[in-house]
Amino acid sequence: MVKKYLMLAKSSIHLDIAYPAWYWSHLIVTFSKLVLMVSFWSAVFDGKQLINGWDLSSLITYTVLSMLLNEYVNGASWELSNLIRTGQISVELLRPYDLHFRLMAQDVGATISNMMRTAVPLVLFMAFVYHLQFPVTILAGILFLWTVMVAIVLGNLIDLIIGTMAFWLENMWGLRVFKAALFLFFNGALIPLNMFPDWLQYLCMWTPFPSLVYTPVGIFTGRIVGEPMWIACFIQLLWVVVIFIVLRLVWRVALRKVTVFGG
Amino acid sequence: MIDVRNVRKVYERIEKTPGLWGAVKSLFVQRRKTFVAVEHLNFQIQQGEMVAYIGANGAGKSTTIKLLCGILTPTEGEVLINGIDPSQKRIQNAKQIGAVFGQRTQLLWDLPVRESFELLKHIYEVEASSFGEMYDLCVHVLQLEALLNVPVRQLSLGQKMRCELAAAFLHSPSIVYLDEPTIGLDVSVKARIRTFIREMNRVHRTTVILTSHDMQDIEELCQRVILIDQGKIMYDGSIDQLKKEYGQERIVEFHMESSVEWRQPERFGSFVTVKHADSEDVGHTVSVGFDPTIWSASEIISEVLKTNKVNDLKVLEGSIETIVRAIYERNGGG
Repeated sequence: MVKKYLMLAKSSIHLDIAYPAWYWSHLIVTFSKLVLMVSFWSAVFDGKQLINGWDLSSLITYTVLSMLLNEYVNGASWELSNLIRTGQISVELLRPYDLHFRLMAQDVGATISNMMRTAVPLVLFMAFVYHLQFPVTILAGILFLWTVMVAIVLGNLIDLIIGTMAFWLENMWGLRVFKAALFLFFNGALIPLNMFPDWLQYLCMWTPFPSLVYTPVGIFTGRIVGEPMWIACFIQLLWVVVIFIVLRLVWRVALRKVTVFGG
Repeated sequence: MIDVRNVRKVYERIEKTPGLWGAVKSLFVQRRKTFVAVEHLNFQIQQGEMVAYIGANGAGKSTTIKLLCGILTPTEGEVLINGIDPSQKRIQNAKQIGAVFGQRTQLLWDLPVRESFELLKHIYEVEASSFGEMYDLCVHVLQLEALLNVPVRQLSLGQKMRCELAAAFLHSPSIVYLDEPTIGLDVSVKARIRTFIREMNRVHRTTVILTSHDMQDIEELCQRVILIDQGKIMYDGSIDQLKKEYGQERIVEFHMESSVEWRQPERFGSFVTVKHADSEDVGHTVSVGFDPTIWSASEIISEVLKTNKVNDLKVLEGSIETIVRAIYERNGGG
């Protein structure tokens, strides 16, 4: 039962490796983004010791990890919306698998493959050049890896909800750009959430976005420690459950459009 | 075994009002319109039968296939595939069926054919031994050996279709739906595909349901024909009987200016059916149906030309469309 999804994940690793030009361009773009953000923060600090309780070194560590993680908390919304728009969805419904799990398996496969080939070398390179910090404790390191995995699943689930909207929207472009902006701003990839004014931090807490990036990277850099750390991990899992239920409900309504009303 | 009882399917569509104002209005008020896609569908198909399911475009063919696959839920009535209701247990049903849709691909676009097949083995959870046997048979009969390492996107239409066919049969399904499997293919590929389908049916007793506009596909493969028009079954029986009853008639179409009046040749009497269809921009069309054992097409044409001023004419072959049309006309349709 699980094996078919593993095989699907494996097949997408093959696909990820099949496009070397895409790999190199992605690597270069990501690298440029990192260098840009690091230079930006260095300029902002300009000899200051602390800003909002952050020192330059830990902020650079935060920026590198969060910008990279932000690349991977997306999912298969593009593929799902294409399936819906082209009507290929009806072929997919003839397959003995759960479409969501299939799309997630393939996306997670591609994500892992891409992380190994892009993120890991970039982190090593940045660590060497900018002296990135290590995780504050061993526990923080382990929890970082765990919360990254949960974040990837959560990002996938949110993305599938976005993709399902193609049943109602003719053009997905606007929604996708909106989502990307929302993610970048509210998940903490652009700037650490604790630099936001209080009311905005409070607002963020009620969304799933901080669970995607701020939670893992905050734990790594020692911004979230002690009891709040365990609460953040719990909230992350809670969001996975909530978003999964929402996805299934939205999907059921959407599928009724196909099976009952005939598309 | 396929069991369809008194099935009716009604679609509901939201009517789009034209223009910007219409678009704004439709955000608040939506007008729904329903139309009946199929009704009173009743048929049983036994294991190992090869059945042609034919009808003109928009007659309800794909609606029926989708109902059988579980992609659509019937509004009324019951569909059972080997005892399973496909719309309730879609995934369970999916394991026992295979399908080829002429316009849609089931293979993974970027993977070589071999890996695509390999993936299907896992998706359908087929045992290695029975999969290997089927795999060899498919590769052999469809001559896929040279294609196995080519990515799907690089295949020609004929090559791709052969692979699609293999993909539909690889998990040894008990029923296979083939929707226009030979559309746009050359004669030799068509022949190969027909041989393959016949072989699968002979060896594995696979039930095949075929929709095609190619009369030769149907004649070579199927013993039974179900003909659907405007959502209703018009004929269900052997292909020989169908041809005997309806296929005899041939049709010549005459196109004339709207201002010109049609004058029926006296010799026609009641042996020839004449049907008028007016359209504003192209003038009017008169279709003359006749029995080719009594008349020849040239006789009909020369008789008509004696008394009428005709712009253009067309001799229709004995195709599915002509048969459908003949049946439709005989049943008193407009």
